[in-house]
Amino acid sequence: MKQKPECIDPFGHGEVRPEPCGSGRGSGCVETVERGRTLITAETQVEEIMEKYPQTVAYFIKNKVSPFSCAGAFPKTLGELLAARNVGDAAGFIKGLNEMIEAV
Amino acid sequence: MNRPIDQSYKLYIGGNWVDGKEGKTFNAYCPANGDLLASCVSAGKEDVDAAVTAAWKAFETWKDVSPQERASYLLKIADLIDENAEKLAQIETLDNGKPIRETRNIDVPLASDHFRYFAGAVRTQEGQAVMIDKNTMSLILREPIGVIGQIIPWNFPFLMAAWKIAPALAAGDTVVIKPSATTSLSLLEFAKLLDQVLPPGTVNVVTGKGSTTGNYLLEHPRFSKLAFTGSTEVGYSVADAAAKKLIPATLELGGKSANIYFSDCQWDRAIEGTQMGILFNQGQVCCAGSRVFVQEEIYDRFVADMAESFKKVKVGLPWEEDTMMGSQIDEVQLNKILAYVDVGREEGARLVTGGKRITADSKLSTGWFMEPTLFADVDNKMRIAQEEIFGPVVCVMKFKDEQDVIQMANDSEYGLGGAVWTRDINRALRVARAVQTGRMWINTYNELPAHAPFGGYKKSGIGRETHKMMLDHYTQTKNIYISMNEAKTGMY
Repeated sequence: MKQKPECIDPFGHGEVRPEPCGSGRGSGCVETVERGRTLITAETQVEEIMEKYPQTVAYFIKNKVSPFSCAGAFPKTLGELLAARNVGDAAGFIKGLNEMIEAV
Repeated sequence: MNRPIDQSYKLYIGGNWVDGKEGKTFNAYCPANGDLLASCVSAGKEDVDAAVTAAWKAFETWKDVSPQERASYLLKIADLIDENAEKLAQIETLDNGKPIRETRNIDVPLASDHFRYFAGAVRTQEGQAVMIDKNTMSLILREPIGVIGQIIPWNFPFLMAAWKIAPALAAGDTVVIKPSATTSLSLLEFAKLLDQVLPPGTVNVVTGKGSTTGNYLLEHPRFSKLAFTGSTEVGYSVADAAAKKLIPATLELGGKSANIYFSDCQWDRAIEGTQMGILFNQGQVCCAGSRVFVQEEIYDRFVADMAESFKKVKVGLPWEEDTMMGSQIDEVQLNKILAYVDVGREEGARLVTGGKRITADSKLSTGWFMEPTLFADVDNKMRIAQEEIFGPVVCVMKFKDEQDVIQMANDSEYGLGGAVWTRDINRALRVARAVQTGRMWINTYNELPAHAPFGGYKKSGIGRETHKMMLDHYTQTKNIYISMNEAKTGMY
């Protein structure tokens, strides 16, 4: 996780509040952030995966599944995304994803 | 304090700023440096329902407001955008990471022009009267549809809001609109301006994630139409939601557009055209010219000049006046682009320039900045030539002649944008007609005025954005069939 950036006020109009401890900005917004690794399942929301583990998008792309676009993260579960993309071995995909997260 | 952004925003429902019923919030960050910009409300089911109810209540009167009066409202909105243009440009730049020169000169002025255009267009709307026979008349009228659910993306938050709201209001509809959770701020600020002009409930803004607020919108049973700009993957879900309610949907979706250069193109303008096609808005443009086809006679020199031009692009903090490319929208998007760079390398494409995140400049190290990237010797079958990368990564391919390039350009599941560059007008028109896409530019790229229809063929969407034909998309046909016969028909 990268360091919290120093706050600046680019237009010189006033203060900018600091980023609160524990919040992420993987996709620009986070409602809740749990500490510790989450086991990804078919029921996990794709948004949650992208927020907590933004590096995993590379795994998705390598496996020909795009989880993120100009509409944001795919707004459904991982299982629904894999079904929509006709991924034959969904269980294998999810296993590999968890292994990648574990390795980071 | 004269800060352009509030520290927190509520939902704009029924002309009031209200807290979310569930009490959930999310944060908006500046992608260029990670600063926390504001807190926004995650709208829950009850909030979306309240917004839809407010929109229906407003519809009861808005649908009967005359076109002349509606035009007057739209012109006032345009004036307010212009009066607040600098503030809106700054907010968009901070929230999205796009260069201030783009928000000042493109996003904001195009948005106000959109309202002016539809203020004029609605005044030109006329029905038809047809004599079926000497005693029978048919009147054909356009009537508002009702309440529209609109979802807009993060790449042009303010402009896409204008594209959605202006024609809907002009047509006599009312709106519940949801911005991307990544870029909610310019629309929320815009709602403050709308509040000064419009009757309560005419436009309602609900913020939140796609998986919650967005899905609540799609699932809500009382929308009359859905309008969505975003990816093809999510477009399927929107189309599915509309089908289940048997309501229309307009969908403006993804692209992998062909930018075609013949050997007689006007050289300097052509090279700049490749930059405009793929570097504008950091390449985060659905109609980006991400596949560049160059005729074989000029290919080597063209690639070399393109690469030099890419290297000269200033990537910098988006609020600096001379910045040409700002930050990608977030870490996920940057990682996605970098993953595609790896895919391109593995597929055997030649990386001529770029391909890396910019971290050497300390000012940029806390944002999501990407080098302008050029792959040459790409095969059109490669994934980097077929899949939407949505970043400043261009794939350059060689072609022999017209038929060759038309075949390759059409070898894509998408059909949103595209361009042909040549001084031969006959050839330009032949190619423009032959490429299966909703928009073909000739000797230019990424120009998006209000009065030219924009939308996709194939998997790039259904329906159009912009142009007065949007008034048809946001209305339905009423036929009044009049008999002037005094006598019985004699059937019974």
